[in-house]
Amino acid sequence: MYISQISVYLENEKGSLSRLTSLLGSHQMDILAMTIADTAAFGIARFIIREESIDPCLAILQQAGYSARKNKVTCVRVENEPGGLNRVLEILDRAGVSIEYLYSFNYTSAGNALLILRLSDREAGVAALQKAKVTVVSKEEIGAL
Amino acid sequence: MKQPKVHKIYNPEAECMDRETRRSLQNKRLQETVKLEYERVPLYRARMDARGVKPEDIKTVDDLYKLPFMEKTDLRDEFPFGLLAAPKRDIIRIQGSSGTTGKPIVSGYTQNDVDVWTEMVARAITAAGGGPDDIVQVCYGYGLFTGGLGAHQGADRVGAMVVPMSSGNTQRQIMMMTELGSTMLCCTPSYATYLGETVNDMGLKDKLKLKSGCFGAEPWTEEMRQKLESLLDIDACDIYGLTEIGGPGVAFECLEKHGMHVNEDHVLAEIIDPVTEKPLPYGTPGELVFTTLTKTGMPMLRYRTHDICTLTDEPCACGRTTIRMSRITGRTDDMLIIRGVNVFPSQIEACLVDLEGVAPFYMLIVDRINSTDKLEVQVEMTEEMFSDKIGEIEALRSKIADRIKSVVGISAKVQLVPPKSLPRSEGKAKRIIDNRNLH
Repeated sequence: MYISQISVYLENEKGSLSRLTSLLGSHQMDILAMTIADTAAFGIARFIIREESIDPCLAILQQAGYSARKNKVTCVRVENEPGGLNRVLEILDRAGVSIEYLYSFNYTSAGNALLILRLSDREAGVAALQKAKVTVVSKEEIGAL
Repeated sequence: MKQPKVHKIYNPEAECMDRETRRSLQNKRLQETVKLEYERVPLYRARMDARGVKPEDIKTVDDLYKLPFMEKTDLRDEFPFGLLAAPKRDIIRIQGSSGTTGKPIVSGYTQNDVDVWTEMVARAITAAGGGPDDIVQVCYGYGLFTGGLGAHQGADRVGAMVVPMSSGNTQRQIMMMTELGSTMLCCTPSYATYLGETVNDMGLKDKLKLKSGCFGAEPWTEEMRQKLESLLDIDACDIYGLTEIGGPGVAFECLEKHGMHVNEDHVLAEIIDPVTEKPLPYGTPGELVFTTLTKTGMPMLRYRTHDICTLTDEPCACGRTTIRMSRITGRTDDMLIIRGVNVFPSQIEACLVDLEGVAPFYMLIVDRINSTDKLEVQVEMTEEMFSDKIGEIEALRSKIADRIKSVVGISAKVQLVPPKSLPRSEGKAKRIIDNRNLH
């Protein structure tokens, strides 16, 4: 089980992120979550949009001259309470799966946080999480948000 | 269809001559050429006098460095007949090139010169597998440009059936190629690629009888060779030449496709440092300089081609004993000197060419900061190179920097920039921004 994420290469300079978001906005792309990883020289914007918008969005980005990619990432629902995140991380640690990066968002008002994880071994990670009864969110569920 | 790799040699006596015998032949021919040039060409005589060099000072090839250079500007300044070493009545042919800056350059050929040139092309066509059983389709332009007539004469000399198509009219080229069953092609590599793509689009590849071709008159890459060979299912051999020295055939590849054999009984090749003008050893990239040994119409001594390549004297499996020149990897006009090291954009390109299967667009930026030259290489990120992980992008960046360090010998700052963010120029790609105020 996975959800799709788009990542885009950005120059680390003033205005480059807003140029990206303005492009996405003008095409009615609804960004559900976004994170920026940056170095002194460049940045990578990673974001989640609904599954059916993924391919059109990639086409728009490529047309506009961006280097962009689609990746499969894991999305889990975490209790919005102390120790919620830690529980997920411990499960993955025990399963020997490491985390390349993670970010979280809270889309609903129900009180749960959604956590996006880029795992070294996605299938092993998802299996361990599901076994431990952590809710792994499917791309269909994301689409319904 | 590709042929079995059987090495055919047009003139074994000359091409496989032992190196010592060839050296004495070169010494003798060099002396004659210098004498002729000194006696008949006022410009060169004045240049030798200014250096205090007399023809009798040039006894062997080792004395070559004493001679002054000749340049393309000399042909322009002395246009059309100022550099002739033979009486005009002995000149039977004019060939030339438009040049990129207006006034054309021309060279005058005696009967001897046309014969020598023809022999050189005949050697090239034979080395690519050609002979009396072949049908050679020439789609270089016929005219002042040496490509068409040169290939024609060479193919004629080996006894092949020559199809003088000249350039252009691709549909007609393909029709003749399939109807006649042409077995060899002589044209530019880019036109051959275009022909190959068109043939494939038309679904006519099965109708072709092509086995090989001699492709030249423009620089190309190993990547282009692979593409061309698979498009047409042929052996694609490189051929090099220039009007000033005689035309195509000055050097050519055999089926080993591992550098071009220089016709050393007719020309001497040197590599020099384009700045210090000192000769460089085999294996070191530098500017290619030619001296003609048998031309009588318009001989050339130490003619600077401004082409960058390397020479090697390592033996070739084909049996020829001549030295070989590498592909032309650039022009001296593009050369940068950074911290005293000669840097050619083509070297940087070589470091980038097989990154994740793509050759990205790049630009070199040179600055002088605190009296030290800094080289920055900006490389456009391609889709294939991009990753959502910072670590992978950083690893790619250091891989490029490491390669540049090992190939070029200097450290460069590598920047990965978004696609299409570097300025494109019409025509010739501008790869260098030099911000040092050196003038």
